[in-house]
Amino acid sequence: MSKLKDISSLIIISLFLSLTVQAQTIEKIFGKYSENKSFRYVSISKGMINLASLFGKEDAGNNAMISRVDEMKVLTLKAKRKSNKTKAFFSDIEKVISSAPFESLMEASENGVHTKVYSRVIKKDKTDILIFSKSDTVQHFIWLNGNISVAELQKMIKK
Amino acid sequence: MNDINKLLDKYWAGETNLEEERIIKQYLSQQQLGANNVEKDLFAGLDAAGKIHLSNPSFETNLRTTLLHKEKQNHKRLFHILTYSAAASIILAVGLFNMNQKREAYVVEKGVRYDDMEKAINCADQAMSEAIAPLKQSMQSLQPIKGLEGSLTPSYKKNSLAKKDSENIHTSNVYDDSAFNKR
Repeated sequence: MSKLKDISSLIIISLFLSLTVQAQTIEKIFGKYSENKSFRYVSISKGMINLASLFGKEDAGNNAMISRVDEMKVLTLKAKRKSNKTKAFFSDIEKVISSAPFESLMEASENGVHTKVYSRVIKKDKTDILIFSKSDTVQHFIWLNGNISVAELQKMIKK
Repeated sequence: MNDINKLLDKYWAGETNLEEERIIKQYLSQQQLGANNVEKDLFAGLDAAGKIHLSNPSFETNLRTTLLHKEKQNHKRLFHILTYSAAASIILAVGLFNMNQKREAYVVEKGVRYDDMEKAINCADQAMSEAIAPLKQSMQSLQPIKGLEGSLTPSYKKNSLAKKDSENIHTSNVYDDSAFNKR
């Protein structure tokens, strides 16, 4: 019985540690590039997320979704798609995505802009949404964290 | 005699128990004046003090009421202290929780930090709009397909289902594939 307890506590600890390590890796990307002069970094925490204007003030449904966002971070790089900076940046992002259990949600290309959306459920009401887009001149990496469902995200995009 | 002297020594040293004091008292009450006069007077005095009754009942009632009132006041004071402490703890906890929740919105551009909420929201808005634009367009182009939901069922299956419905036959899981086979 005590062995079973030990094993279960070990599993819980390792799960917790793995989640912490994964969370740190996203943070590390923002930490790494936020001070880089080629990048524009935006950080908006909960309490300041009165982001109704981000997705259309009139829509009550969107406001409900936004209220569930705890944190939002954006990295923008104004550089050519094939530049070394862009390549290094996206290589780091892809490392994070491949090292953590992110699911690919959507992918689309339009007018030379290629966008991918990934999500990962951390716990019951905590989800990470990663959106990154590549274009010939501007590259974006967006991280939304909170109690956001895929359906709500789709609804927001459709608006 | 020696025993009683030992007991008295023990009494003055404050080491006697109730039983030993009772023995001393009994011994002294039987003694005539002489030795141990001090102890005899002391025990007689203590005995007399124990027999004092408050002769005035109203005084006793008042005293009791005052004591009860004081006790109630003490309870009230304690209750107030506890209530205020609980309220203060809650306020402190809420305050600390809010303090821990970082409330900030800022932009770092070319290594310079701007604590400007409007600028942060505008930048995030711009990035979000640009990033989700292809998704928006793709999803909009998928809208007309919604209307085609019914037409995705093969026509031969549609006909057979309609026929079965009209005949009210409850074999909905069995499809008439003969029309398809003839093709």
